[in-house]
Amino acid sequence: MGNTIVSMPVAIEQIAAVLRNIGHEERRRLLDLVPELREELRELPGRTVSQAQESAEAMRQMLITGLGGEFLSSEEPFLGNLTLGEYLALPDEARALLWDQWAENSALSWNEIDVRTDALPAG
Amino acid sequence: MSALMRCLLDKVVARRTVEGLLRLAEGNSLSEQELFAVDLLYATVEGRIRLFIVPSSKSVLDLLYRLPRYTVVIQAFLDRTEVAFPTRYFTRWSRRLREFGFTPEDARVLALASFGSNQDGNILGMHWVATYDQPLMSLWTLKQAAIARRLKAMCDQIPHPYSQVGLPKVSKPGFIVPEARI
Repeated sequence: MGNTIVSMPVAIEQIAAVLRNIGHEERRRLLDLVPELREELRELPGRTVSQAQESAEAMRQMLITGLGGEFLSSEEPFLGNLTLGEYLALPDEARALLWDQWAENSALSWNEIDVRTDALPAG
Repeated sequence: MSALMRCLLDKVVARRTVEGLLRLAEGNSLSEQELFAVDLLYATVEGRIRLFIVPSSKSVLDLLYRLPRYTVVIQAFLDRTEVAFPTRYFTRWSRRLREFGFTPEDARVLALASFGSNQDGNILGMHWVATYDQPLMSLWTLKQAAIARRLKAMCDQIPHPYSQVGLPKVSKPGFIVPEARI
């Protein structure tokens, strides 16, 4: 037997119109009620370059304000007897290697800690 | 406690983010990977997600923080991230993950995303791991079902709350932000 066809009481466009007007909490509640939507959403494309550029511009403004309105100079001394400009001009592999070297004497260990019994799991 | 999405930045994504911030502070443009890493960091400003870094990343940031001219930049990163600390059973799970073919370093990051917490110990695990490591993402996807079975078997033998841990989703930064916005 084929699938039973259930007629929609409202057009999908009407549902979309409602969804565009609901708040953050209601959208979350909707995902709880229709978990299949999460799978569909995973197939959506990620952030666009223009969205990311907006974020980056906001971060740039924050940083420049914090720096008193002045950009950092590429001649600024950096770690490893390099200048900032020299460090950023290195190939990625070289920067990764330096990062590993600088992390070698880590004060933070990988020792295990206990969590609280009411710790909030991610699952 | 916060029920916000939690995301662990692997070492490279943390580095890309910091390098992106440095380039912004220098007035330069960003590479695509830096751009999306900074975009993910900015999601914390909007209160959409909590970001975590591995302990070794924090060590490098501490060194940079001591250089006065970089304090503002590094503080901007530290204000928006927390260090993830390994919890009990982290080592055991990390060892299990290596048996699936992950490198020791990748296994530690993935294990930290399940058996990791904040300094207060009031959370357990992450929803996401942000990485640009394509082999890591591919292997994670390929072995997902078997890894989930292995974790379930382990969780059946360990006490609460550790028995409640799950597996993170592993993705590039640009694909984490949209879901965190929902």
